[in-house]
Amino acid sequence: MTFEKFIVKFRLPIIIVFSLITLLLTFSLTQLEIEPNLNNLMPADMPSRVQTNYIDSTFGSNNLVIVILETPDILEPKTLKRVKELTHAFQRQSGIERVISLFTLKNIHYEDGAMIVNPAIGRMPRSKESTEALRKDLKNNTLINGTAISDDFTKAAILLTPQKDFDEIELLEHIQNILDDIPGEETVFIGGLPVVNATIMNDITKDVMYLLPIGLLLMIFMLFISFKQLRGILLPLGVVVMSIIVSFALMPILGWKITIVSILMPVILIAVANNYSIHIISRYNELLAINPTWTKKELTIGAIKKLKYPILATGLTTIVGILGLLVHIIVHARQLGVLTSIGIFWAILLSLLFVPAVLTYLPKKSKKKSPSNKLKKKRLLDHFLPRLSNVIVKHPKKIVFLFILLSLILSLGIFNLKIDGNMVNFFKKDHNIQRSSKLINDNFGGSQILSIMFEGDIKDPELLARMESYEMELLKNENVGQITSIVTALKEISKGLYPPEDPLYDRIPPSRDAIAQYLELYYMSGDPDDFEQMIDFTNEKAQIIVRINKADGYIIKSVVSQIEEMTRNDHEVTMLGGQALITSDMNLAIVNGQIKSLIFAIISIMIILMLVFRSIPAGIFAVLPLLLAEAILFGLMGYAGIRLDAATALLSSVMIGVGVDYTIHFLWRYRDEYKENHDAKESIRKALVGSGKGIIFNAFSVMMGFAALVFSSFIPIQYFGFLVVISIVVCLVAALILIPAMCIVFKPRFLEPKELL
Amino acid sequence: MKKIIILLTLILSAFSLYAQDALSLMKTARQRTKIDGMEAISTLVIRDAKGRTRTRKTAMVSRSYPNEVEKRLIRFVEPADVKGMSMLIVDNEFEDDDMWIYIPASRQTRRIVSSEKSKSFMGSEFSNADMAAPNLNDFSYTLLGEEKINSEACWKIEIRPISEEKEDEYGYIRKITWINKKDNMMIKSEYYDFDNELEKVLYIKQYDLMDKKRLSFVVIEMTIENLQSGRSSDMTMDKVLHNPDVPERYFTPSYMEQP
Repeated sequence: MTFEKFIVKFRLPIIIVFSLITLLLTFSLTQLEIEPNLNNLMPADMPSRVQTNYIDSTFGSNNLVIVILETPDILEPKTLKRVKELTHAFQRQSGIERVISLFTLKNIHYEDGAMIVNPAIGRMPRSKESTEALRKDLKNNTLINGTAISDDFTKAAILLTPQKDFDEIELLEHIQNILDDIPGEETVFIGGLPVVNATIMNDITKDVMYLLPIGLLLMIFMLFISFKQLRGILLPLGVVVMSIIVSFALMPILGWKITIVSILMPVILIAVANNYSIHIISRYNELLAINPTWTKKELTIGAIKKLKYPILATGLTTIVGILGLLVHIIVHARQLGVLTSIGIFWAILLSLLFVPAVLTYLPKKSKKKSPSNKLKKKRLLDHFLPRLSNVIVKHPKKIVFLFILLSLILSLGIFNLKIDGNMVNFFKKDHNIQRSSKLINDNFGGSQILSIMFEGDIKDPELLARMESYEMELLKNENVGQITSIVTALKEISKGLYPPEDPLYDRIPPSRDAIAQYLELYYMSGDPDDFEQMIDFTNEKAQIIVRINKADGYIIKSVVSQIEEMTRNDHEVTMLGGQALITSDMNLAIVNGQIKSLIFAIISIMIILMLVFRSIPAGIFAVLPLLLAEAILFGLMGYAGIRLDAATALLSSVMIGVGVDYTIHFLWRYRDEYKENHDAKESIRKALVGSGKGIIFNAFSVMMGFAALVFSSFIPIQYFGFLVVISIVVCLVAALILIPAMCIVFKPRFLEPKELL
Repeated sequence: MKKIIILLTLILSAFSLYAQDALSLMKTARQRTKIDGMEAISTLVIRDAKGRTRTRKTAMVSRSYPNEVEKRLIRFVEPADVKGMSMLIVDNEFEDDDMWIYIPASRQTRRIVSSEKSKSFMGSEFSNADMAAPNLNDFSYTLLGEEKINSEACWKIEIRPISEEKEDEYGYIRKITWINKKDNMMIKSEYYDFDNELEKVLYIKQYDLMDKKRLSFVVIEMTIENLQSGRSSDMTMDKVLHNPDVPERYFTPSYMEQP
């Protein structure tokens, strides 16, 4: 029994089985969850995550929520009062473990033989003189200036340590409520990694809610224009919706969660999954126009017979291209690869089985022609394609040369390409996250934190001196904002023990005993928990906290590299950790993942095409446009300053999977034509005119689908949409101009007719 | 209905009666721990959530004065690297406490000025306030009733700082204390944080009669557990000696500097 007969015979069971499976999977959608922690993008056993967890468990988490109040002078009584009231309210709020502000920090200083340990602000200053005296004190206190106040006294910060495992979105609501309850004239910003996480979670939900309908509407619009008939809209729409349901339904079943990259999934499916059924319906319509007497079943069989192999070939290459994501280190990129591939596979099954089965039931109805619109469009392309083929046939060598030259020039931008693993840059420049991140970077040391872990005898003066020398060295780097460690704290203690003119003022104590005694003093001056942010309970571990004050992933990476280089031969530096290290690893992961999935996709597609065309040069021939498109893509990104990040890094795989289709379609048709007339130039003309239209419509419907991404809240996703459109244009142009020209110039033997497939 | 009203009235009057009692109970309890003078060697064990410990051995002398002032001199004996470090604390009933510290490594004595009573005592879970007699006027007291702790009949008293400032100073919003009827000694206290969640529990495990005449006791062993952080600390008196005549000169900053 042939495949076509099978469909006709079992058409009812086919419809029932597919509908039932989809329906059953729909129930799983209620279990969908959003991934709250961005660091889970990286594999949990990645050294940077393991080390960061270890350091966090030793010293407590460094991922603070930072509330910033901005006003001309924070020492104004009403601002101080608000900071004080906020501090109290935060201290009393569940979910917040520790609060650091002007009103919790201590001011240690020396006065007439006494070490004065006082809250940074004890009594509110009442006179101008006392305000200025306070200003001077605060400015000189390294534990306060740059932590709770900005150097110019226009900003005050309140730092909140969230309780472990407390829901971040709920915590932010509490914080917002407190801020609303204690109003004031100051401008308030909230920043820090927990805020970034929570905002991304919120925006992901928003994105999925908006992008899915926008994408579907764009698709319906596109389908309406090309078919102007109900089935032409409903069948592809059904295929797309069913494959989206299947892909999302598998997430909870596999224990996966929605992340920022999952936003791409429905859009990829909208753009790609409808193609196969569109081809079938248009072929059905085409056959009906030629053979008005055929039955519904004959028409369906006719359409499937011609299309099953091209659909399988293009579908398979798309799946393989997207499966290139499997070698990506970013966990969710792999998941996206698996889910999208399954979705596309499902769409292929639906298009080859379900859609024909339904078509055999639908009444035979020839499309209502709407001559005005349709004909005009036809005429446009009908003029363009023959002209194009004339040019190609006349100057094939020039075209190949020009194309390669242009690609080379455009690809030079690759040297400008920047890698960015910092999630803050997902947001637009005027987004609150960006603004607060900038405030923190400019005034409060920096928002990206790196920890240097020391293990050994921390009371050893030689070790502390070394820690201090690292700090001095790092502070010379303009990208390093603030550094805190037990060294800073000990020096602060020395400021209480000695007057400024004393040589021991602002110094690490000279002997081991003195260090132990300073530490003991330090233990007496605060909460037990507070000490252990810098030195562990048994004084065997300490950390230097380095704050990086730039948000760009590649700068963070450079600081991390400097620290790695500097501490390489220090046996007491046992590990690095912190968000900056994860960001830096993310950068590496993006590059590695990009290269790996590129190589994987190109090689596998090459192999598939070699098998399909049964020739080794065929694979190389068909893959060339992809390589050029890839080079142009990275080049353009470099020129335009678009960074390679967690989302745009997925571009190549998607582009390769989708972009190769046009070349396959063209070569297929060219070979068919060549079989008949054995003339390369004539075959090019015929193939271009014959398949060009279909390829162009196909490409435009894909671009239309991806265009929905422009409405995303996230910058990288927007760029993704923009870049994918550009890449598809490149692939399209390559398939319709470069490949035909190459066919004439190189006369590849695999296109010579043998009995094929 | 009438019965309920009568019952309510009874309960209410009982409460008001209790309220008066609570303060006098606290006063008596305070008297019981007031020792005119003593010397002691004690061990403080500080334990973190993972069960690791840090031990501090100290020698201490203290003396009470009739004007509610108490002076204490604490000197580190162990570990070796802090040996000789000393603290002189003058507990004033109505003013901020005074504190001096001697650092042998640099032969420096510094007065430390600070107003926070909630501050940790030597990095332990005990606060400075736990180590000294409380200022009775900083709190309001309510007698909650009677309860048995380890089969010992006790008064159960709720203690609240009188103002938000005092709450911040002491670091808790309320404390429940059990005072045994036998000796009028506090044997257990629960501290509630600003969320009104139980944060710490203090147990007096053992106390001995020190001064028969004045009927005062010395705490021999106490433990405090922080239920939120998993940390705990033990304070044990290895040796105690009643000495009403501790020389006054011990309680001067210059004495600390002598070896």
